[in-house]
Amino acid sequence: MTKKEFTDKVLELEQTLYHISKSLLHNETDCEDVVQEAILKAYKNRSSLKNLQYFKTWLVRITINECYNFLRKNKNTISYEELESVKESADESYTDLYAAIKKLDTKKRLPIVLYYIEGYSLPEIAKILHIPTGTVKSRLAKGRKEIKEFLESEVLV
Amino acid sequence: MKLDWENAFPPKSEDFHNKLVETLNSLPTNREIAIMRKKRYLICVAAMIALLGTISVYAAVKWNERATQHFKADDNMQQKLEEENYSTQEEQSVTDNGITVTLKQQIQDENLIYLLFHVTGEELITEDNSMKLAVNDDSKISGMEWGFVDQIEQPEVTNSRDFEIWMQKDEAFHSDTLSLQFTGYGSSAPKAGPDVIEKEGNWSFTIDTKTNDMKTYDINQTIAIANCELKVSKLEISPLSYRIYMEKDGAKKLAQATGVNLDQLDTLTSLIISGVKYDDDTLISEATQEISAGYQDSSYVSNGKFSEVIDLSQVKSILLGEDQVEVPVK
Repeated sequence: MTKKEFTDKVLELEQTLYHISKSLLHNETDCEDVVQEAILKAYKNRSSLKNLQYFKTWLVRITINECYNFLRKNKNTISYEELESVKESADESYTDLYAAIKKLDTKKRLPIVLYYIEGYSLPEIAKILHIPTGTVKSRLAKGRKEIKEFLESEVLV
Repeated sequence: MKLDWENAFPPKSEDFHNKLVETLNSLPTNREIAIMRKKRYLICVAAMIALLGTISVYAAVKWNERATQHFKADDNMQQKLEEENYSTQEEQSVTDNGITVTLKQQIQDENLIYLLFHVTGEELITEDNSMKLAVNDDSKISGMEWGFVDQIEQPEVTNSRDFEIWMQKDEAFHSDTLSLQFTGYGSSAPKAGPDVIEKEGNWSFTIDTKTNDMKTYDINQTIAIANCELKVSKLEISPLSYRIYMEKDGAKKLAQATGVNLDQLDTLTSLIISGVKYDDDTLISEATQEISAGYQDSSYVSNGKFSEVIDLSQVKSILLGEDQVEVPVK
């Protein structure tokens, strides 16, 4: 894959990469750094991608892995920016639905984002997350239920 | 309760977009090849062997799973390619400084070489580790990529990991052997910079590069693509790869007509082999990955690897581009 082909494909996926990183990480700078790292890693290993039709799935997996790597490395630290971001979210700059999605644990959050926001099919999500299709379905169902409960409780408040 | 999924997330910031664009702009166009070209090593194989801890050689039969995935050869084709010198599984293993590097398999033709190694160390090896390596005469190699298998292909992390090398032979490549030397083990730099070497050592291998000649077909047929006529003059083909020669002027007209600029890393996709048809009309589609392409003297030459091994005895025609323009070869 040439640099131009790679660049074009990444630009097509910009919104997806943002959503994936933003669903797992909080502050904007971390999202930028992690997506940058994922792009560099993907470009370096692009020859390992046998079939270009899987580019999107492949890059999403790399981005998710990079988010997890970042969270592992930074599990005991919280930056000043992050504290500021938390304040920002409390200031209602985010939608209630986004807040509800962020309340989910990552096991449910990722299938919800990939299915409802990014439009992946169940088999595609199963492939990306290395879990059976049935598990994707059950996590979606549980995630939907928790989101609904959270939003209803917000309305009551 | 209807949920507005489409607008759930905040819009991406301008900073996010700028950093992504900046990252893409900073990507090297062909980093691995550039690195190779800078270094030239002369290796005395005998001296290297004297420095090494252990060397063992033995033969295996069935292909490694990773090689099978890359070339998609069934048992019969594996056997055939082994007999015809395209594939070798004579393992060589070298240990130094606590790292054992084992050459598991090599698959090659006149055009390319694929080498599969297995590296074992004392600590966990991930896709972020790296090996520093050199080839004795890199002027014989026009392109090269290498690295540990990534976590998608090999999710488990242990103290062993597969390491792969792909080389494209230069047309001037006529040697019977190639000396390959790993000189260090370490980690990849985080931002595409030079790797960090943590352990130095000598892990040297002599690769037998004798292989069969590619089969040459004189085609000399004019085809029409995107209202442009161009002459396909010659096809050189092996079970693994191909070189197809087309008239330069016709290719230039086609590039112009389809808005392709080869100087700006564009690809003339309409001239890439997209399928191979067998005598019984079996179609092997999505058959190739272009390795390189460009003008050579009075020709345009496209050089590619088949995504699955081809049975040469059965090839009736090749198909070009998305439109699958058929070019008979027999």
